[in-house]
Formats: sequence, structure tokens, C-alpha cells
Amino acid sequence: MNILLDILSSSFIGGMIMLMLFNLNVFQSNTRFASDSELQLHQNAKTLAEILNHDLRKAGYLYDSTAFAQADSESISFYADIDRDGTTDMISFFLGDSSEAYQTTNPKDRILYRVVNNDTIKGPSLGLTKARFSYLDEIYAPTTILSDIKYVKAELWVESIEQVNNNYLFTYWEMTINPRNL
Amino acid sequence: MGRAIIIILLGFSIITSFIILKLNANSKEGLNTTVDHYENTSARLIANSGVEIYLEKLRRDKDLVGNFSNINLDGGQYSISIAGPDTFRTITSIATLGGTTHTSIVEARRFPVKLPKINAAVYIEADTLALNLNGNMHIDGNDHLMNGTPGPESSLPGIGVDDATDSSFIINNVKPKIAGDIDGYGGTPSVWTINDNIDWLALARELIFSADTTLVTGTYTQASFGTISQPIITFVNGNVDFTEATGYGVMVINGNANMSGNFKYYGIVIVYDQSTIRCQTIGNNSIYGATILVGKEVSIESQGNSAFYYSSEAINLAKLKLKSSRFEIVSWWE
Repeated sequence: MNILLDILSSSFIGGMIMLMLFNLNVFQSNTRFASDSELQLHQNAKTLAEILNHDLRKAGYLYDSTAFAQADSESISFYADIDRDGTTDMISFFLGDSSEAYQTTNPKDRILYRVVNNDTIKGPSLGLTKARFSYLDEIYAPTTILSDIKYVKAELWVESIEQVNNNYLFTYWEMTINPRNL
Repeated sequence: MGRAIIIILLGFSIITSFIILKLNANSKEGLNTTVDHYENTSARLIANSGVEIYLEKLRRDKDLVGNFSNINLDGGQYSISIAGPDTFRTITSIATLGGTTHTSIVEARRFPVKLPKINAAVYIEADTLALNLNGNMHIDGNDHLMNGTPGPESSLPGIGVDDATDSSFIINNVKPKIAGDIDGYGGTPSVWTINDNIDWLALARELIFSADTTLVTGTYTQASFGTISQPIITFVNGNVDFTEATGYGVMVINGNANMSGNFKYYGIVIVYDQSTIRCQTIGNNSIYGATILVGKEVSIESQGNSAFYYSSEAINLAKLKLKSSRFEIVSWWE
């Protein structure tokens, strides 16, 4: 009887330990996934910001007329010799529809299109769910007059591509760019 | 039993260590992302600051060209290359910070120096004018070359003033001998009213901004303010005495000017002040180009042999060779 009790007790303890090990393994997987997602979110936001920063700072470069061709809240087009080859290029950024980013599980993420002349570069969504451009004149007042634009304020709402604990991680990036050629 | 506990503890330790290592690696990678962004931004700012610093140097040293390497700034370094003529100067700044490099390329054009339209050999703008002219004073609005021979341009008035009261005052108050020596447009005494609407204070400030040499109150003997091959903009801030001095270009005097001995100047002399100015000439002095006196009260005194000649050659030399300190940024690549 005692032996049976020992076996049952040790099996229970062993089972508990196995359960703890299993839970720990699940915990470490979840933690790793959350940590990876957070890192990826951070890197995606930075990549998006750097793409916009790189191009918007060149708005009007070697172009004598009004640099902006379009300046809306979700799309922007401007002229610049973006590749320094001596010819003026037109660069456009606009957001695609949320249905276009079908490779991710996030239903809200959208693709930020970058079009140079007629060449469309369709990148991954990078978790961008919303982008808003606003425009300021030389006294930092909002403007919609293309020739008055001196600053471009870009706001990015970025979420993780996959769900983490039934939620999408979220970050917000804001920058105000003063293209020197305006 | 003991062996089992050791195995279990080892299992726990391995899993826990794995979690910690992984979280640590992600934390480090996240930090790298932030640092990378910081370095990108800082490298861009260092490169742009390098351009700004050298644009300021170009303001002072108007012939600055060449390469300037490894200049420390804000924890990073930048190297500058300046090439091209004043009409299209290219400044390339390459900055490094950590492992990040950023290049800014700026094309700038130096503004031409703004010189006033010359309407007379001597132009006076004053609310109150006082004259004490003696000796052999010759004011001539006929064009002269810098060697004293006749120049190609049309004659200007010998003296131009900003209102008719002043022209009457001059004609009525100079001695007949001197009146006969005010030559130029319309014959002797060539004194005309010219309202040119020039903002002399603004113009003087613009020239002062581009000054190559700044002098303070004092006596300058056997000094040289520019040469025929390299005329300069001289700014005198205070009351000044020139003896045996020569100069080429433009001289802006904010104060009283006293010329004695053999003072010779080729270009434009502007004596201005918002209150009273006194211009005194003693001995053999000559100004080829134009002389402009602007103030609330202007007092002119002369003794000995003095000559104020309109010279388009001297003025054109200044126009051609003087450089402004202002740049227009043609393009900025960053």
C-alpha cells in the first residue's frame, strides 16, 4: 500500500513538474514571440520613417518651380532630382487599401506605395495602419497652398503584423521635415 | 531521486537562460535600432553643420577653396571640400559618426556686392549743411581715369545734394575761386539737386556685412586699404585720421573722417552717421570715384590741395572685383 502511495505521490509530483516545465516552455515561446514582434514593430516604424525622411528632405532639389504637385492628408507628390542624375523626378507616396496587405494577419495594415516617375515600388506593409501628412508654411501655420509649404509633418501609426496575446502591438512616429530646397 | 532533481533543475535553468538570452538579444537589437537612427540623424546634422560652418568661413575668407579633413564636431567628424567659382560654389560635407556616414552637397552662389548708383562726384544728403572750404579744392563730375586723364563716361554733377535749399546754400557760400573749381555736368559751379531715394543706412549696413577690413577709431599712417588688383571693402567704425594712406574699393566710414597728407582713394567713399559727420581734408588728398556724405548735420572743411573726381574706372573696378559676403543657396542635397 505504501509503495502504491509512493508511486502515486511521485507521479503527481513528477506530473506537476512536467506541467511547470511545459508552462515555462509556453511562457518562453510567448515571451519570445512578443519580444520579436515588438522588435519588428520598432524596426518597421524606423524603416518607414527613414524612407519618408530620405525622400522628403530632397523635395524641390534642383527644381525651380513649386516643388509639391499634390499635398493631401494621405498622399503626397513632389518634384526633385532624387537620384542626382540631372533630370527632375516626380516622387509620390500614397497608402493602399487594407485589403492589399493580404500576407499579414493584421486586417488594418496597409501598403505605403512609393512611386518614382512611373516606377511603382510596392513594398511590404510593414504594419502601417494609418499615415497622415500635414503641411506648414514658413511661420509654422497649417497651409494647403502648395507654393507656401515649407514643412511637412508626417505621422505614422504602425501595428505589429501578427497578434500578440490577442492584441496588435502599436507605435506612433511623428516627424516634421523642413526640406531645404523649398 | 537526487539525480532526477538535478536533471529537473538543469532543465529549468536551460529554459530560463534561453529566455533571458533571447530577451537580452532582442533588447540589444532594439537598442541598436535606436542607436542606428540616432547616428543617422546625428551624422546628417554634423554634415549640415559642417556646411554652415564653412559658409560662414567663406563669408570672411572670400577666396576659400580646397579640402579640410577630419574636423571634430559633436562626437563625430566631418570633411569639407569646396570647389568651383563664386557663381557656382560646391560645398561637399561628409560626416561620420560611429559606423554611419552622411554626405551633404550644397551648391551656393555668391551675391554680387551692391553698390549705389553714382549721381555726382560728391553727393551730400543732410538736414543741415556747413561748409568751410579753403585752399585749392577741385571737385569734378567729368569722368576721369585713375591716372587723372579724361574717362569715357558722360559727365555727372560735381556736387549733388538731396534738396534745392542745399544747392543754393553751396552756391551762395563757397568762395568764387572754389565755385569755379566745381566742374561737371552743366558747367561751373556744377551743383545739382538729385533726389535718388537711396536708403543709405541699409546700403551701408549691407556693405559693412561684406567688409574685408574693419578699422576702429584712430590714426592710420602709410596704410593701404586694398590694391588695384585686389580692391577691398573697408569699414571704419569711429572717427578716423588718414595720413599718407591709399586704398581701392569701397570705404564706409561711420563717423568723422579726417584726411591729411597724401591720402589717395580709388573707388567709393561713404561717410555716414545718423547724427553729425565732419569731413576734413588737409594737404594733397584725392578721391577718384565718388564721395558720399550722409548725416543729419554734415560739415565739410578743406585746406590745401584736395581733389574729388568722378571716375567710372575706379567705380567699375570696385564693381568688378569686390565680393559680397552673402550667398544664395542654389540647392541643398542631404
